[in-house]
Amino acid sequence: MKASLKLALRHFKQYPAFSLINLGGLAIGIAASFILLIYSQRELSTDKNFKDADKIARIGTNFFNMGPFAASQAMLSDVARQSCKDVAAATAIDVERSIPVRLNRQDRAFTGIQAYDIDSSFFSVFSYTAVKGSIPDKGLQPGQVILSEANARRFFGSQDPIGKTLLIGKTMTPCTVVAVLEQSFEKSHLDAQLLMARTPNASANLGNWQSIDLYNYVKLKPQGSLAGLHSWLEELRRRVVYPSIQTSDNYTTWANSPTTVSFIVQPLKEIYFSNDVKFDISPGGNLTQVKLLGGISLLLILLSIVNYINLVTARSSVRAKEIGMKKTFGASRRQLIAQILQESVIFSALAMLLACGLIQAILFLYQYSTGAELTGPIPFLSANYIWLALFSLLVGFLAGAYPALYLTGMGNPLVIRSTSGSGKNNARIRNGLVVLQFVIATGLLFVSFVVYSQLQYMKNKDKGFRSEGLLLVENIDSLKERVRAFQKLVETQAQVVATSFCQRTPGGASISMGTYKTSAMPQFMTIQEFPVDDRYIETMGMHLMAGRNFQKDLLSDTNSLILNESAVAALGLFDPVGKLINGAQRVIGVVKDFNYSSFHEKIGPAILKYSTGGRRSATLAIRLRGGNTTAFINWLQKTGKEFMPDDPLRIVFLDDNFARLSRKEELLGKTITFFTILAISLATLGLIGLTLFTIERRTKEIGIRKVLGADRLSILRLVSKDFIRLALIASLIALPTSWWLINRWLNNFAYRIRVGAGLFMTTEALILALAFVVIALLTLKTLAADPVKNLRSE
Amino acid sequence: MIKISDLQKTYRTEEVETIALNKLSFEVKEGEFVSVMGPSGCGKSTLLNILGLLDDPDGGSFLFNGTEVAHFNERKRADLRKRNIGFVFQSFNLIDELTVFENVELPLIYLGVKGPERKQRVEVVLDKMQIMHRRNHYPQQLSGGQQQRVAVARAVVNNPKLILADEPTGNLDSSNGNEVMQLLTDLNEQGTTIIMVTHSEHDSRYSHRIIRMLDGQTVTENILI
Repeated sequence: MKASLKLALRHFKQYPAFSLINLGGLAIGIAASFILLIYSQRELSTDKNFKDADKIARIGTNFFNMGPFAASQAMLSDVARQSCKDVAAATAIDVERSIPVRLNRQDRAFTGIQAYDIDSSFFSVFSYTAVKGSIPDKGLQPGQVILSEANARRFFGSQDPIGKTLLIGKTMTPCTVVAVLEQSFEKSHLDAQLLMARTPNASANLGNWQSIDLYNYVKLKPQGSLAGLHSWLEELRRRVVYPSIQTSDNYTTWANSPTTVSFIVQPLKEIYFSNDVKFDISPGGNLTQVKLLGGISLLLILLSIVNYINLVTARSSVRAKEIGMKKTFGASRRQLIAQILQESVIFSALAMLLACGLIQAILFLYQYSTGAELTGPIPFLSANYIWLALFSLLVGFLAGAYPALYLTGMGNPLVIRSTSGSGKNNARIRNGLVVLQFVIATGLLFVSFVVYSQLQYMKNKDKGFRSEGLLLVENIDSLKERVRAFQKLVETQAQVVATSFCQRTPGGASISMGTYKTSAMPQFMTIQEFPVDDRYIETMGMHLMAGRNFQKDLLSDTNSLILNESAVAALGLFDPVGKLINGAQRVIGVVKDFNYSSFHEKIGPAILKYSTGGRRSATLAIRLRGGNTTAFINWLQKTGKEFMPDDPLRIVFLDDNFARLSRKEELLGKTITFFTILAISLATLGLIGLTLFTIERRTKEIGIRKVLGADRLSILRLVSKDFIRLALIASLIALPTSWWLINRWLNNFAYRIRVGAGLFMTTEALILALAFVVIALLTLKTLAADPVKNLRSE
Repeated sequence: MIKISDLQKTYRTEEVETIALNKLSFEVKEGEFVSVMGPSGCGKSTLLNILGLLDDPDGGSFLFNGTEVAHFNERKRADLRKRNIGFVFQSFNLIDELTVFENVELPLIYLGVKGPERKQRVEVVLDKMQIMHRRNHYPQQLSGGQQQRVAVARAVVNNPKLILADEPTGNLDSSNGNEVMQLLTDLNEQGTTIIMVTHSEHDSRYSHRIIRMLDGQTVTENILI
């Protein structure tokens, strides 16, 4: 081992460029794939760290075909605890998305903090542990608060937070910190930043089964089952929910009608990746991204192993003498294999040391370039690093295996004539490996181009309205009776084109549905509603295709509807303007279809309903001319403060709301790009190494050719020909395969790009250009040398 | 010690077939110093490779100390080689990454000799070859003569019964060449059998017998003493 280490270090000193390329490549590969493995492992084990995670489930609900919703009725957890024989404990969480927290009345508030209002059963379901203080046995009492470690540090720095008081909410309710939760590296769909006691039975909707209020979780008894829970919920629906809803339908008709109320059960471990429920407690994960990055992690480590193998076997002529001599003096093949494996393991251990630093650098660069965290902190000296060490050893072993077998399997170079043909085999295998590298690089580059193009398409697609330059004031109803005065003032600003009060905007979080039918339809259908005023179409920049807009002074317009094209089609209307729906509501206009949800969904039927505004949850939409938006927002904030000193206006761009809908794709795109760049850097390193080797091997040949009058171009062609040929072969494999794979991803979108020849050609051109530039730079450097010197080099 | 009969070796490529040894037979007794001579391509080196168990013949018999070794497998050949045979090459074939000491130590490592004994045996042989003062140098820091002395030291460190030398003075000037030949003669006088391939009539005079080869066969045998 000592001798191998010594030899490895001397090799390093003797061939620093090769060794650095090899070491750097292996380190990048180890670091990046290790990060991705940690990421995948962490994502896939989300929520599994809770005790009895298999026995925990969330009950969501659905009604009016609007859901399914992650949240459900306020009283559900109590009912479940009392009457479901499978349930051991049940808890309900209310989420306050952003709650101000102060240390003193005069202080500026800490913002952006999410609070969970919990009941006394919370800790019976979720096994949190306290790192400081203790979790009260009977649950949190009003006036008590539990913090996450991060928030404890944020509020109190290094001081002990236990017993200290925080002023929470707009009311500045004093709460005493009783415990700090232990920070877990493991991931959870719950983000317990700040826990407070929820007043029992405080919900206004208690008893209303058509309203969702809280996130209800149950823990099943050891002998309890999800099937048992399902059948209890079905029974609840029949015996409690159905009677509470005043309907003339019998149970079976009601249970199958759009107006029914039903429940969904989500096992805890499946919550994080299920993206089909609305209003989830947290954004949730992206299984496609996890799978994709898991795949990329394997490709990255494969790339660096291939690099290592290529560079080591390419140098076999140098090693051959050493191996041959050792064989001559009695080394057995097993001893030589062990020596080469030791070398590569030592090498990968060195690469691992370098990778430890690179891990932090890559995580930092990732966060810097994507704005998102990939793995959360990887605690130093944690078990993860033991995995890293084992992983590196495995990589060293895998990377060394082929060179060991190859180098020791060669005929003794002292008897070189007997080995004719094996050099050819080696070149064939090395070429195969170079093709593999090009396949990975080309495939990843193509995939990232397609993802980027799809994202651009989503950004630039005609949404049926103009999303740019639209500001939304989301909490405008806090102004109460001064709303109209505020709107008038806003409209006097030179930059403002139009303003509108509405209760729903495209890409917004709120949902409103109504049931509609024409006289020709046998039953009602549920359609998305947009309660808006008479300025909405103008402010949003929607296109009126037929009929007219709402008119403020026409009283009859409170019963008028404007349909989008899909609603016209869904209701089976021909020449819709003037037609009656639901008996008395008249269609007065048709707007062009507009996107109101993510690009995964096809534009569905939507109806604009005239609403005079002033109702709860109204939004003020402001259409701006181009110009200094920042100055206008500052003015808006300042003016808002004059109207309402305690509650700053919540101003967002509508474009940002839309971007939120495609945030997962956006992040996926950035992540793929990030790791594609890494993979291409790795492949380039390998190419540099091999080119250097090729040039070294052919230095004499190049010298002779130069002496005989060859020009630079012909020599460049000589060196690059083989690599370019391999890159082309690789493309024939990489492009169709990655096209097939990425098409499956694109099929998730209702609105997607078609992958045209342009993307294939751009990818190919870039890969070839990259290969050619690397080879040309290195070759030209050699060509600059004196040919006689080249000849002497042998 | 060595008896070969009807030894054959043919090299084949896709286009050409070259007969390197053509039913070659001779015998070498223990303690002999034999030179093998002949023009380039006559099969000298092939013969030496087979005698050194680095290569196997296609046909014929090869008795080493009375044991048929012609078709030994790689492991048996390696074992026999490391216990009985030392090699000296024209181009020295020292490992560039190892120091003089480490190069000489190599055969002992593969013989499984323990560290302290290894050190002692290497030092004795380096001293004998008058190269002790260069023990920590790398091959490329030595002259040709010094490198060949290291190579000889490496060949003899495991006290082999047979030394195979392939043009040991081919890369040396005459004074360094004579020094190496003297070393081999001394070893032979101490009982080591030596078979040397050479082009040099001068060097061949150090041996007891000359086997002349042509086209893979012996043409004459000259006894010098």
